[in-house]
Amino acid sequence: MEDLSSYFFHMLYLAKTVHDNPRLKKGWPSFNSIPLDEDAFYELSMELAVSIFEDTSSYYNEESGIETWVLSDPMVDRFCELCARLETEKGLEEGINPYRRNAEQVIHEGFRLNSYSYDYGWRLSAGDRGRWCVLFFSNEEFYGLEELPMAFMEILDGFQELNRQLEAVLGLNKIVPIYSMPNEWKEAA
Amino acid sequence: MKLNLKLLSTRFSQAKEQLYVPDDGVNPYLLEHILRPNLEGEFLRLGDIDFDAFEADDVPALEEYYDRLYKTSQNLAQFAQTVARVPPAPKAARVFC
Repeated sequence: MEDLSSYFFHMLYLAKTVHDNPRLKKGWPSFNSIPLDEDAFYELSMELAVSIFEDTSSYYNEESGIETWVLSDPMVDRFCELCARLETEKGLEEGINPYRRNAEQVIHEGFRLNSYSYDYGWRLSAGDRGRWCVLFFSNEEFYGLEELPMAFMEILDGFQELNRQLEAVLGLNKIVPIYSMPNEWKEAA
Repeated sequence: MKLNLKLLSTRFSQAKEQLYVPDDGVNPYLLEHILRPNLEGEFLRLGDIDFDAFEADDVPALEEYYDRLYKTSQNLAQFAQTVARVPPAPKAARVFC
């Protein structure tokens, strides 16, 4: 009997995830020709990880051995714009905007990985320089590459849901808002 | 170590014909079209797979089944090795079969 490594099953699971997500599969013309084996697993994981956020770049620091992933996407930009708009309209400080806290929670939950030797962060404030983004840091002992595509997808889906809620509370769509915006927040701010 | 081949043969013939590793709860498509061909050394590409025939949650169940199957095959191989190592011994008196 052939000895199949766990990568075979991880690969099958990842491929199913890609197949079920039209957004991912659309941009992947070579999908059908990828072999179902261990060698292709790393390739698929990496290609998938870099294809979820619209702009993904990574930088490797040879001195520290740390790789930094910078994840930007129009969905994240939209979230920050909607937050800024809400804060202006309601006179809120960033620190008491529940949608910002929820975004942080989305990122925390998305990056609950089984692997170790990683960290993450974000630049979502109006005061942050450069493009708004989510950051992921891994060092040489990080072995959870296959977990990143799902983590990135969960985070981006979380931003999409928060944008829907923000648009509702700002009256930009017809969905009933989850949070009512009490006047006390304006006074507290 | 002595091995009674006649008794072993009797036990084998008395054994019920059934799957030693039950495949209950395993998606039949994954079993027949993905796992079995791979165990037989057949090479598959993602384009060969009908992804609508199973759910993502079926994959961990398939992996658990494979682990049980692999463990069983290892045990069987070990048993076969043990049998093969038993040296043949002559009977004390001549016997006609």
